[in-house]
Amino acid sequence: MKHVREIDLIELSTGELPEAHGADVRAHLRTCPKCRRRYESCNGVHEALSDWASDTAGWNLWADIRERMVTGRRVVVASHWTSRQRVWRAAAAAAIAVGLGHGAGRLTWRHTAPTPPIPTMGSEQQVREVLSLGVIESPSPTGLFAAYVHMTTDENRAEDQP
Amino acid sequence: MRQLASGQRDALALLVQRHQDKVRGLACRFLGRWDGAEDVCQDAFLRVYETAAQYQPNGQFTTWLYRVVANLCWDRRKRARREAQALPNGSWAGWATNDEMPVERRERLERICRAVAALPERQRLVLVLSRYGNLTRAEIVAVTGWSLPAVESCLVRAYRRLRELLSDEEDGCGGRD
Repeated sequence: MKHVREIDLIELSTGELPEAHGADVRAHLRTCPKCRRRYESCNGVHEALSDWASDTAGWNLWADIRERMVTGRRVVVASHWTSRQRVWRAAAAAAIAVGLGHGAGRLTWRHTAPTPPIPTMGSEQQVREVLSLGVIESPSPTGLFAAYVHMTTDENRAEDQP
Repeated sequence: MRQLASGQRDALALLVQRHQDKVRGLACRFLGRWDGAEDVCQDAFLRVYETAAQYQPNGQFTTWLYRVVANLCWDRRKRARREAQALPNGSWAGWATNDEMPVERRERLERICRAVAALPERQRLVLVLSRYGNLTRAEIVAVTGWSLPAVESCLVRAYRRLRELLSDEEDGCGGRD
């Protein structure tokens, strides 16, 4: 049995096969399951491609061409980005700008933070603060506070005198 | 075309209005870029205007117009290849889909766009002229200048390849589920 050529099956699915030849092909398909399966797969591709419609609503090519004929300059059309793609582009641009700014700042920033003033020996209060004597004076388990009191009271100082 | 040859711009406006959708659809589907297709459309009609005096009415005007469009698309692709500019895959579906589309339809369209983008250029051109330009095999021969067996071979291979690609995509989707 001579099977149908694939190009004829494609043209049958697109409706371009001449009527006389188409009748012969259809008659063959009724008796040949293999060719019928091949035709169904061709038709499946043809149907799938039908989904791909192009949207030309609101497009005015003549205006662009007329402008180009008058000015001699190519009309640059606006980018056909979807709103989602615009958001991603904006986010990417912001991230790049932040990264560049951070890098530029690190290269040019100098440490100019003020250093803390060095305390000079002045009043007793200042000395106590610098030496953190408040810590020593706190009642601690080691008895440092008690030892300190002992050392600093007048009676004890008198006993220690030779 | 006779009016156009005598310099009447209104005749060009009429031709543009009548054929712009088809021309744009062909260019978009072959190039996969909306902005590139717009350039091709402008160039094609300007070339029609410039060469109107040389037009010989021994065939359909659309065949002649599509030949101009096909040559411009082909040149653009050759230039892009020379400059090592690959068509970004993302742009193929970008012009054919929009955010208002249902997700299923958008995914189906993207599958189709990816499958067509994966075809070799000769097969893609013949497929686009046949399926979306509604040209017969003989007309495609007139547009491309290729032989009839070459055109038929391109069309058959394109359909086979699309069948494989679309069924692979569907299997892949089913596997993920």
